[in-house]
Amino acid sequence: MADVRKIRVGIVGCGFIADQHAEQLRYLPSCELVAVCDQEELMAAQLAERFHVPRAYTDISTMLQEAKLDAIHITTPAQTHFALGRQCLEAGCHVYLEKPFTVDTQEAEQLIELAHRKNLHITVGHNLQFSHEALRLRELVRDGFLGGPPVHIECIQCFSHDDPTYGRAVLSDPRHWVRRLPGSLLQNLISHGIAKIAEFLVGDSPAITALTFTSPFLAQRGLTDIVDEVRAMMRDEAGTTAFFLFTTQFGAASNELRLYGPGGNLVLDNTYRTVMPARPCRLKSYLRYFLAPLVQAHELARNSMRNMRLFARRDFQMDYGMRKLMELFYRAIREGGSDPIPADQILRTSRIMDAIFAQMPGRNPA
Amino acid sequence: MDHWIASRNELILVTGAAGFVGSRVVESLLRSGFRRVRCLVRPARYSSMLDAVLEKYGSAACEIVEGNLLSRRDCEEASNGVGVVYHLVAGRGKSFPACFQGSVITTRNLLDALSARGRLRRFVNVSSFAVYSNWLLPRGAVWDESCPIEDHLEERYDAYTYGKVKQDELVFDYHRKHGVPFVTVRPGIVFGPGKKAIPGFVGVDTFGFFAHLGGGSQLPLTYVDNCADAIVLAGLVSGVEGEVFNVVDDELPTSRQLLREYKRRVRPFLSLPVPYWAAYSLCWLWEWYASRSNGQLPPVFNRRMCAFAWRGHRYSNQKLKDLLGWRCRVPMGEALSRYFDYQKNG
Repeated sequence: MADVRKIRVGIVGCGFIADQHAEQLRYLPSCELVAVCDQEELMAAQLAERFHVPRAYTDISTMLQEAKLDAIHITTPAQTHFALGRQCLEAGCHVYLEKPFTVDTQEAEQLIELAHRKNLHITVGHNLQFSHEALRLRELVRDGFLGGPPVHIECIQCFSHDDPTYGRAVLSDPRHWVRRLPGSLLQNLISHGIAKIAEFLVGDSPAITALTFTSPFLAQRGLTDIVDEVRAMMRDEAGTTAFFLFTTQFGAASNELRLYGPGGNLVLDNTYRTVMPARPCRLKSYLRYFLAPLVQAHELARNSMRNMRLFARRDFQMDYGMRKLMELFYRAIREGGSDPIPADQILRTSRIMDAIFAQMPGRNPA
Repeated sequence: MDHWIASRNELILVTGAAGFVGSRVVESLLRSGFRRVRCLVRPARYSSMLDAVLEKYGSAACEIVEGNLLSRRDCEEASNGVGVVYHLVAGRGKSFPACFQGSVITTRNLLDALSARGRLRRFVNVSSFAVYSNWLLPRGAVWDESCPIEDHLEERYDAYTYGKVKQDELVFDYHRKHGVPFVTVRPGIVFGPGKKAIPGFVGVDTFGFFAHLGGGSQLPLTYVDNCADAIVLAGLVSGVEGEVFNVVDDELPTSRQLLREYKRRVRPFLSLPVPYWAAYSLCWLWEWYASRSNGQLPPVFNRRMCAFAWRGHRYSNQKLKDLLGWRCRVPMGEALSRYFDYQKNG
């Protein structure tokens, strides 16, 4: 095989999520991480040291000039995504932006337009859409399991404030960058769930009615400026309806996507990494109560076996979705194909989020 | 005390003052009669532990300052006029960047602010036993301040250790370049009311049952009040600049003794004793598989970590007693009683 030059990749922003990017890049043979950048010199140095990256920078302009990069992963606070993304695209680099893509849709549109104009690839870190279970769900939908376009979609996304590196850090610091986003805490979290719904909706801007409020947990601590609960109803141009629930209150955390179609239903569970198909029940009488649960048990067993097989094949990483998304992104760059997340999905996700934040009480200024 | 470097009117800064150890350091200072203690706390972290201390000793001697050491401005405000600093803030958790940021960036910001003021008489760097490597230390040997620092951080794969090793390096660097007067304190396992857990040196319940891995090995325990006393002395006693002090109590129990008493006095549960050779073999296997698993399993269980936690050593607090005049104020029996009581009823 001919010696194909590796794609030279850089990371800007050496905080928490950058570690996951650097880790997954190690397993992509077509790429090499050659430079990292952070305004904080020590943070750049620690990432470079631990992942054996040859160059660490504190200034992105210098990195762009010296490191001869083909692609950049932007893992900085969301407020900087637009400016950094534009700078990287202007410098001729493909861009992988961590979620949320930008602070609002206007910025998202400009970035995508610039990438198209410069014939560059751009994507967003909605990696949950590329987990094994998400890929299987997509395959079933493409194979017509739903029997047509979804009639209704439900997405449940749970979050725990107890997470020591994120939840507690955000709550304990009123100046934390997450709390200065227009959608505050929500903006950095709900894009995963919204993106799952946006994939199966059509049209630019679904109609949205959102109820947002502060959980009792935060209210008891006097943190009423933070909204951490969302219930949102949507309806797209084709008449598909959707319900999005984001909560911090469920004891048994659940992260599910449910698709209801005229021919069957599908339930994706990111917590247990399962996809449960439900077909119309043809059983009569009491048999439906005795046999149908067994059919469900059989489906669960198949999910379990599938996960075990993937584990045995060393293909069941915790961050598999991120690795797969990167793999598809770099394949698109190398082979000139389409981006793993279409631009219209990125924009639809952004518009839905904007609409939810616009209905938040006392929303923060951008 | 005439051999102390600071009078009781000296302005003292305690970072992480709302924490488990930090609040006891504040208490120890107040008990020793210090009248100007500045407590740096995170805005939402003003804790019941610190509240209890202030209630007991009165708040007149304490100044509560809310701030974040990741902010240079907060560091400048907190360090204004201080003579002695007890630095207890640390990054915790499994994330390497979070631990690094919480331990190193915070320390750098604080040291920069203190260096600029030029009034600092001592910086007490509260480190941890976790920075040591007992890899070459024979089983049963004495583990004291001469134990080497972990230099295979990638193999050890522990975010907290990584952050603390880098923090210690940074403090030494500031001492070398800017003359920062410092003392390093390395507590063993700090236990007491306020912390609900069986120490990892005893065993782990990661796999759905309690694996007792500590066997008959001594545990490097230090009761939180005793530990706080040692930290306070490290900031005050003259002639110990640049020294390192390990902190462990007297009459250390074995892992087996602690677990037996825990089951008797807190709650009974089943535990599976795992001998060291078996734990080491399993950790070796985990480490081997992790390196070949295509990133599927991180090497969180590895031979260095196994040796660190469960190889079994004896521990010394002789230096602490000889140079700082520290005494174990709360005897082990009483300390364990308070700990078990909190585990059961707290």
